[in-house]
Parts: sequence; C-alpha cells; structure tokens
Amino acid sequence: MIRFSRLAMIATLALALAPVLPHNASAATDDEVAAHKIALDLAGAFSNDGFKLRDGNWAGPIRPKESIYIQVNLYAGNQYWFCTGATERAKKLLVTVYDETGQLVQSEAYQDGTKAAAGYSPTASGAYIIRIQETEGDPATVCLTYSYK
Amino acid sequence: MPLCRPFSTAVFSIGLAVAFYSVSAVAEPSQLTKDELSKVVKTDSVTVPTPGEIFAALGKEVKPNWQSAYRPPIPTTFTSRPQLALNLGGLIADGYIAVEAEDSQQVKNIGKDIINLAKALGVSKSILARGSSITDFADKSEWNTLKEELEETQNEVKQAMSDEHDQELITLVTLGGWVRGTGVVSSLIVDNYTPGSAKLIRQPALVSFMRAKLKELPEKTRTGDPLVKSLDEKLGDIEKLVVFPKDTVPTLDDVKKLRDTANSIENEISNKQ
Amino acid sequence: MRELPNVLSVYEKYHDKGFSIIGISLDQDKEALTTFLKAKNVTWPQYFDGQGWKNKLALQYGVQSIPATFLMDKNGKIIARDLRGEELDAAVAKALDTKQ
Repeated sequence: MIRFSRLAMIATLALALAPVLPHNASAATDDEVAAHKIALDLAGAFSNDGFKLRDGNWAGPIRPKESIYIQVNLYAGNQYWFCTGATERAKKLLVTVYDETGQLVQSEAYQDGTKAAAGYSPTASGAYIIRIQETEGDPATVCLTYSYK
Repeated sequence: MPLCRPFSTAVFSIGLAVAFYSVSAVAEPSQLTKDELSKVVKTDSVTVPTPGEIFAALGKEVKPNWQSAYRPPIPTTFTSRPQLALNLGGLIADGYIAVEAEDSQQVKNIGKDIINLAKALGVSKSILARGSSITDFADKSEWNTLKEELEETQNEVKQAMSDEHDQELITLVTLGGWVRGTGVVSSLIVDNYTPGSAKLIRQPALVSFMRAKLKELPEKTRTGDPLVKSLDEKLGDIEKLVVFPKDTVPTLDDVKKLRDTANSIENEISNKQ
Repeated sequence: MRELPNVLSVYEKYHDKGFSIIGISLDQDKEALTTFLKAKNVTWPQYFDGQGWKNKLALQYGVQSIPATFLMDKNGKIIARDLRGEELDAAVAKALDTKQ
C-alpha cells in the first residue's frame, strides 16, 4: 500500500538525518512506523463494515501497567472504532473509553496480543478520552488510530 | 458455579441465548482520577475531528442539501503561507461536501484547487498522484473511496509539512478545515433544524484546544499575521456558542449565531489580502 | 455488561417457559470471573477455557468483539444477534411463542 511504503521511507530518512535534526523534529521513528502499521492492519478489518479510517494517528512509548490517555472529539450518531497496535515487546494491550468528565463508558472490546480496539457509539457529542494500557509485556511503542461511520 | 461442557454437545431448549463477554473488560475503574485527567494528551492528529466525521453525523440526523453548501471558487494565489494553509484545510472540507453531494465535476474542480494551493505551499509533490486518483474516482462515482482519498490527501499534506519542519502550517490546515466544516454544518442545521442536529454543534474542549494551538505558533506568525491574530479573537466568540451542558438543546438562534460567526471567519480566510 | 440487568430480567421472565442462556467467558482470570458472577447473581451455566480471544467457541462463531450475543431457536438456528433492551424480550417471546 502506498501509505506503508511512504511511512517506511520517512522513517528511514529520519534515522539517516537524526544527528543534524533539531530536537523537536517530528519524523516518525521506526518503532512508531511499525506500531502504526499494526494499528492500520487492525483498522482495516473494520473497513469491510463501512468504517472509514480518519487522517492522523498518535504514536509514542508505553510501559507495562501504565496508561496513555488521549483526547478525541466525537459526534453523537456516529460509530467509532479506536484501534491500537504496539511493537512486539508489548504482549497485551487494552483500550477503554471515558467521557469528558473521566467516567467510563460502555464500549465493545477487542484484544489480540499487540492489537486492541474499542468500539463506541456516543449519544452525546463532545470530548472523550481513549485510555490505552499495556497490561502485559515490556516497554514498547504504541499507535492509536481510529475509524468512523 | 456450574461449568458446562463444550457447546457443540449441548441440547438446545426451546429458546437459547449464547453470550460472549469478558468481565476483565469491564473491571476498569469507572472514574479517572484528577491525576489521570491531567495526563490526557491532545494532538491535532487525532483530537480534532475531520470534516468527514461531522458530515457523517449530520447526514444521520437530517437530509442536507449539500449543494446549498457550495461556495464560489476561492482564490488560489495567496501570498501569505498561513493564509494558504488555512485555505487548503477549507478546500479539503469542500471536497468532502462535493463527495456528499455526489457531484463528480465539483470534486474534480476542488481537487485542482487543492493541488494549486499545495504547489504554492511547496508540498505538491506528495499529492500530485492523489490529484489524479481523485479525478479518476470522481469519474467513476466511487464516493466511499473518494472520502478515503480526501483523508489520505490531508494526511500526506500534513506529513509533507512535517518533513519540512513546518509544524505551524499543520495547525493552520487543521483549523481551516474545522472552520469551514463548522460553518457548513451550522448552515445546514439552520436549514434543517432538529434538536438532534442542533446538539451536534457541542464541542466544549475542541475550541479551547485550537486556541491553545494558535498560541503555540511562533510569535511572528501569531502577532505578525493579521489574519491569524483575528482568528484567535473570533474563535473566542465561537467558543461561547459551542460550550454547553450535554443535555442542552441549542435553539435555532444559537445555531444561526454560530453559522454567522464561522462564515465570517471563513470569508476573512478566503479574502485575498 | 450494561445489558446484564436486562438479560437477567428476561432470563427470570422466560426461564420457566424454556429459555436458557449459556455464557461464554473470554476472561483468563477464573477467580475474577467467579467473583463477578457471584456478585451479579448470574445463575446460568458458563463456559470458561482461559484462552481469551482464542476461546474455541469464539473462533467457531467468528466473534471479534464483545459483548456478542446469539439467540437460537429450538432447532439451533441463529435467529438474531446482539439484541439489546426491549428487542431481546420481544425476540425471546416470539421464539417461545409466548404472549408478553
């Protein structure tokens, strides 16, 4: 797919130029690219059900038993799948959804090793928080992307 | 607790339900702590919804006349890079509108304008191929694929900007798309007002996030560019209109005010200075 | 699990008329499962193999997200999936040919 090869190219270029780039350069690391690919593979499964992958993703480090919290803004009436992928040092991920006050909401769950997803259909538009946990494994890199319909 | 044998040998009664579940999936704490809430990450790559998302939600509430949301062609020869970036975001939103309207010609027209602006910004190489795909899919009326192409186009433009270390332009592309999307949606809600559609304008955290992003822009852009300076003030006006409790239903007048404010920002963005 | 009170209520209403439930747990912690079921007063039979998403029934039924429910008639034919709220009561009543 064009998307994967372009990401791989960007990652390689970033590594080659690393010594001279300013510290706030935002080129994706190899691990972020790898985690993104896994998240995209998972998101691809939902596209058969009419879900469209949105532009953009978040990637970064994750440690076992720690959580990452990412804000998203959702619209009532839409259905969403939040897909995460992690590099193989993470053995198990869990994704849950909270509303803007930090209250857990009921979501569908999917887990398969370094891939996990949460499906949610909000009844109120607004900010929500996606929580990603590494429940088992070693420090790794995780990527979140999401699809909607 | 009885544990039964594998299901394949079970004898069915008259009606039987089989339920797959996991209690660990619901054993999460039901409320995040203040400390956890303070760690929430916001980033325009996932925190700001794309125009496709709000249009999808609106389309479930009402049957909008998408063509009524078209605007006349905008200039593509701006000299200010911030203005180019804001308009690029707005044009991508226009692309979504044309796809919702299933208007091949309009999609192709918008596609050409997107390429022109991207060329002016110096990020066209990555999306020249997208431009041809958009035309091909428009000719074949492949609307779902076109929505994905628009998402990909936006993604590649931002990636190209990131490669050029032009982070400020990424924020402005996102903002431009959001302003145009908000203007269109509020106009369509005014034309098709229902309580359900009106509640879609609720975005309490989003505007404050975008104002915070504007404040992160380099000072010369933030204070030196009159358009960017004016945007921050006008976003403050929008913030008052889109922040309300979950169960509140905005009135038709509230939505009209939002429409008028968003459209006035959009006119400023697309006005050649 | 938001649906659990509704499922409990439908079970109570129709169990004597021939409606049964089998719960297939995808958990891997049996103790947590047992504690939960006791606390929620869930009395129908459970199937647990500790295999998580590789649970053989989940694989057999192509379950990719939970909760997932299948309602079957007396011949074992799946007549509905993922029913929520009042739909579950109505579908069970119809399957049992019982007036609500």
